[in-house]
Amino acid sequence: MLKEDIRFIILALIPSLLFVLPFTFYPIGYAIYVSTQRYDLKYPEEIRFIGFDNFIQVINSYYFTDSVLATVIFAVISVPLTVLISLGLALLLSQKFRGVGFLQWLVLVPWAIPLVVSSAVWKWIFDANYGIFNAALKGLGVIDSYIPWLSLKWPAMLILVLAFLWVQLPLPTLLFLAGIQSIPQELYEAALIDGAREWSRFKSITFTWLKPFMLIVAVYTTLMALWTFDIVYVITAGGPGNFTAVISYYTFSEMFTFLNFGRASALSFMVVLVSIGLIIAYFRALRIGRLRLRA
Amino acid sequence: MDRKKIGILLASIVVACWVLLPILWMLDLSLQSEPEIHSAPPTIIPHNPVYFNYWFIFDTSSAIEARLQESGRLTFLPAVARWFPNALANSVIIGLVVIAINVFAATLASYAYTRIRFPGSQLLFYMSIAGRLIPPVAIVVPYYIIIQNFFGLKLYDTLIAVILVHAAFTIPLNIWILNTYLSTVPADIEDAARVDGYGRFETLFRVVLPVITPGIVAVGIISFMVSWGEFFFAFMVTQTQLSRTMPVIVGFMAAQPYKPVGILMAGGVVAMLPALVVIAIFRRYLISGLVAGAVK
Amino acid sequence: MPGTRKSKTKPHKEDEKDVLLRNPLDKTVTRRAALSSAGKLAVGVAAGVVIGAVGGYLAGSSGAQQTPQTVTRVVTQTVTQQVTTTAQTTTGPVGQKVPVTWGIWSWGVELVQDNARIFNQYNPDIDLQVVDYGLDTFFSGLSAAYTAGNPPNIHYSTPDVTYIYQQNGWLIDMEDYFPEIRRYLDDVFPGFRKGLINPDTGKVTGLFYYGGAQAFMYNARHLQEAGIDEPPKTWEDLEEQARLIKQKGVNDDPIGIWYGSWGFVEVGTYCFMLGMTDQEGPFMWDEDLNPIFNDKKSPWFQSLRWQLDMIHKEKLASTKGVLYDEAQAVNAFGSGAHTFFWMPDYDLAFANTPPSKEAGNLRMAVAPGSGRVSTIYRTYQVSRKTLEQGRNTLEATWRVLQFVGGRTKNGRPDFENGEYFVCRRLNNEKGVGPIYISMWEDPKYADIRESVKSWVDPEVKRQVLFKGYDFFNDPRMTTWWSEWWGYWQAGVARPLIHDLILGNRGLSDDDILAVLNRLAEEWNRMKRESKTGK
Repeated sequence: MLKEDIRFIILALIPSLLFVLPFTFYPIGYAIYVSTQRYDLKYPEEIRFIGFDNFIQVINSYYFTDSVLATVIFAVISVPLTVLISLGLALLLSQKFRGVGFLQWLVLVPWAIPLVVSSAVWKWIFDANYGIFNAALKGLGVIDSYIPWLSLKWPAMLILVLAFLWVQLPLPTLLFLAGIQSIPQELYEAALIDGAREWSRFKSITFTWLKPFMLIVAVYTTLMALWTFDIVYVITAGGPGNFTAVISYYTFSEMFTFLNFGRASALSFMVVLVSIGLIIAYFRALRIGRLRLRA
Repeated sequence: MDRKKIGILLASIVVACWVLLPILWMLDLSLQSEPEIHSAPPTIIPHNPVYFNYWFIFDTSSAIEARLQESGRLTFLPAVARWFPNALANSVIIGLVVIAINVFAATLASYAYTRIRFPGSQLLFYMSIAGRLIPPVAIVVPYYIIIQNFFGLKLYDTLIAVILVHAAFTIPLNIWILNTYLSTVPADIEDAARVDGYGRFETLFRVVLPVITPGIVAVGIISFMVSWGEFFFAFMVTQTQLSRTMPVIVGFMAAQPYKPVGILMAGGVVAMLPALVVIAIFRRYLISGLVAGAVK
Repeated sequence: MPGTRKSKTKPHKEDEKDVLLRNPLDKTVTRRAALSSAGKLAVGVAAGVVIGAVGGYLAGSSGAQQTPQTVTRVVTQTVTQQVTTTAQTTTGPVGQKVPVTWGIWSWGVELVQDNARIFNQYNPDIDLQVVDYGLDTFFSGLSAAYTAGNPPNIHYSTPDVTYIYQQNGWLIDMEDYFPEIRRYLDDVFPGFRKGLINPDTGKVTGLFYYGGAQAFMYNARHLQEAGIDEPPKTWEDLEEQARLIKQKGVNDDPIGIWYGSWGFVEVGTYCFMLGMTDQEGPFMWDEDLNPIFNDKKSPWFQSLRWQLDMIHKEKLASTKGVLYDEAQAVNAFGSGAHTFFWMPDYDLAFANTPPSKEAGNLRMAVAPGSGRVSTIYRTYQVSRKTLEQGRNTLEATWRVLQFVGGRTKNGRPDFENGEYFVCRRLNNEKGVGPIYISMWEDPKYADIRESVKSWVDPEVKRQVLFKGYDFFNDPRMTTWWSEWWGYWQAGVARPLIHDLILGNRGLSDDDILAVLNRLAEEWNRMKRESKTGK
C-alpha cells in the first residue's frame, strides 16, 4: 500500500471515528451492563447484579406479548407502505415535467414540522369532538354522529400508520431520488435500443440499481417503526386499552415512569437483536451478500 | 405519451394533497381563536383571522399582558414560548454546523472505505454504522455521561454539546448512504486521474465530488432535518432555556396541562419556515448531478 | 390509617427513626455511607443526574445545583444538638446566605420565581432558589436528584410520591423539629388532614401547596335550554336530566366520562364510587392488600355497571373520554361537549374563563348521591438532606415552608397575624384553590371568594371541599401501597378497563366480573412474585 494512501486513510477516518466510536461502543457497553443489573431508581440502594433476570422479567411481564403484537402489526403495515410509496414518489419526482422542482421540495416539507406539532395535527384531525374528519364524513352523510376514532382499535392503529407515513416518507424518497440520479443514462439508452418495454426497463435497470438504496431504506424505516414513540405518545398514548402500546412505549414507561433502568435496557437490547435479525433477512431478500465497500 | 402526462399530473395532485392538507389545516387552526377551534362543525375559513397566536409566539410578554387586561387575572398560556425565537436561532445554527460536519466527515470516511483496500476496512465500516442500531432510549444515559466528561471540556448545556450528539447520531447513516452512492459510481475516471498524478485528496475534491453531488446534497438535507427535528437528545444535554432548541421549546409548549391548540399550531408553522428555506436551497443541487452521474 | 400495617411491615424503620431523633449526625453518616455504596456504581449516580436533566431545566437559577460535597462537610460541623428549637428569625451576616432549594414542577413557573424573589427580599440571610423538574418528568427528575444525593430542600409532592419517598426514608416529619406546625391542621378541611400526616409516625410532615376536589360540574346553559332548574341531587336525577337534555337536542353526549392518562383512578372510578355510597370506603383491598373488588357487591363493580349502562344501553355517555388527557378533558367540557362532568376544580377556572367557549356557563355543584368527591391535593415536603445540612438550613427551610404553605407577615413566619401569602397569590392569579378553611371563611380573605366568583360560587366550593374524601391515605383504597402498583395499574388495569368500557368485553354483569376477577388474579400474581410482598 502506498504511503500516501495510509496517510489519507488516517486523515480521512479520524473525523468520523472521533464522533462515532465513543458514541457507539460506550453506549452499547453501558446498555449491556445496565440490562444485567437490578436497577430501579425508586429503590436506589438495591442496585445489584442479577444476570438475565431483567430479560426473564420482561418476557414474563403482562405487557410483553401485547406490545410485541402491537409493534409487529404496526411495522408490518407501515414498513412496506413506506418503502413502496417512497419508491413511487421518487420515480415520479425524477421525471421531467413542469413544477417537478416544487414537488421535490414539497415532499420534504413534512420533515420540517416538529413531530409534536404534526402528531397534534393528526390527532386533532381525528378528534372525537371537533375533528374535521368526523365533520367531513357527517357532511357527506356517511355517519350520523361523530365517532371517537382514536378509541377504536384498528382505526387508532391506522391513524398511527398514517401519521408515521406522513412524517417518515421524506427521507426514503430523498434517498431513492438521489439513487436514481446516479443511474447512468447510457443504460436506459442501451435498453431503449434493445427495445425493452418500460416495465422491464424498470425491473432490469432502475430496480437493480436501487437495490443497495432499498436496503438502507428498509433498514432505516424498520428501525424507525420499531422505535416509534413520539407519535404513539401524542396521538393514542398506547390506547385504546393497550392495542397501540408498542415496545418502545413500554421501554419509555419502564425508564421514565417506573424508573426501572434495568428492564428498559433489557427491552431495548431485545429490540436491537430483532433489528439485527431483520437486517440480515433484508440482505438475503435483496440478494446482497454483504455490504459492498467497492463497486 | 399523453397518457403518461395525465398520469403524472394526477399523481402530482395526489402527492400535493397528501402533503398539503394537514399543513393547510395546521395553518388554518393557527389563525383561529380557541372557541373557534373548539366548535363543531369546524371552521374552514376563519371569518376574521386571529393573529394572536403568532403575536404570542414572537412577543410572548406583551401578548400575555394584553390577554390579562382582556379577560381578568387568570392566564393559562405557555409562557415558555418566549424562548421560541432564541430556540429557533439555536436550531438553525446547530443544523448548519451539523451539515458541515457530516458532509466533511462522512464524505472523507466513505471515500476511504470505498476506494482504498486496507486491512480491517470492512470491520471499521461496520463499526462506524453500528451506532444507528440502538434505540435512542437505551443510549440517553451514556450520551449524557460522555457529554459531561468529553475530554474534560465543559460542554454540557452548550450548543456544542447538541452539535456533537447530533453529528454522532447522523454520521453513521450518512457514511452508509455515501458508501452506497459511491459504490454505484465506477472508479475508472478516478484511476485515470491518479495515473495523471493526482493525489487522493485532489482526486476526491476535483473528480469525485462533482460526480456524487446528489448524494452529498441528500446527506446534507438528512443531517439538517434529523438535527432540526431531534427532541430527546437536545433535551438531555441542555439545561437552561438559552441553549434549548426549537423542538424542545415546542415540546414544552405542548406539555402544559392546558395547551392552546392555536398557539401550538402557530409554533409549528413558524418552526417549519427556516427548514423550508434550507431544503429549497439544497434541492437545487439535488438534480444538478443528474447527467454528471453518467461517466463520459 | 390501620395500625396493623404499620406494626407488621415497618418495625425496623421506626427504630431507625428513634435513633435519628436523638442524633441526626448518626443518620448523616449512615445515609452518606449508603449513598456512597450506590455511588460506587459511577454510572449509577450519573444515571440519576441524567434523569434529573430530563426532568429538570433550572429555570433561570444556575446556582441551584450546588456541588454537594463542600456544603455537606461544612454543615455537618455546624450541626448542633438542639435541632428542635423553634425557628428564630435570625438574620445572619450579609454575604453568608443560607441556600435553600425549592423543587417545583413547571407550572406557573413565573409566579413561583416571583414568590422566591419576594421571599429573598424579606429574608436577606437566605438564598431561596427554584429548581424546575419539568411537568411530565417531575417524578423521575426528583427521584434522580434524590438518588444522586442532591435533592432540593423543599419540594412539591403528590401523595403517591410522598408515600414512596417516606418508605425510602428520604423525607422528614417537620413536626419532629417544629412541633408548632401541627397548629395548621385545625385550619384544614377535615377530609384533607390525613394528607399532611406521615402514616407511619402520625406526625405532620409539611404543609399544603393546594387542595381541591375532583368536583362535580355542569353546564348551566345546557340545563337552562332543556328547561331544568336545578342540578341533579341523586344519580337518578342525573340520568333523567341527561335524558331530557339529549331528547331536546341540547347535547348529544351529556354525561362526560373520562379516564385520563392514569388509566383507571381518579374520575372514572373514584368519583362514581364515592358518589354512589356514603359508607366508609370504597374499599378495594383488605388490610393485607388482598383484592376484594372482584365481587358483584363491590363499589367498583357497581360503578362500572353504571358506566356501561350509561354508555352502551342508555347512550347518555360515550366512549370519547377513554383517551382524553387532562387538556382534552378541560377543552371538551369548556367547549360544551358534555353537560355533566367531573374534573379537578382548578381546571374549571380555565374552562370557565375566556377564551374558553362556554366561559361563564359552567358551574360546580355538590355531587349527586352522597355528595362525596375525591380530594386532590399537593403538599410541600422537606428532604432529609435538609436535616443533614444542619440547623441553619433546616430553620431556613422551615421559614420557606411557612412562606409558601403557611402564614407569614412581610415574608416572616407569623401564625397569629400573618396571612397565607403564596396560597392567596396562587388562588388569585392561577385559580389554584387554597385548602385552609379560614381562607374560605375569614373576612380577611374576602378577595379569595371575590376572585373565584366569576367561575365558581365560593359557598358551593366551600361545601364541596367539606365533602372531600381522601382515598389516597388508606391502603384499602389506593394501589400505591404496593411495590407493584405502577405495573398493575398502567399495564393490567388500564387496558382491561378501557376494553370493558369500550364494550369489547361484553356488557353483562358476568363480563364485568370476569374483568375484575382477571384484575384480582394479576394482582395476586404480582403480589406473590414481588420479593418484598409489600
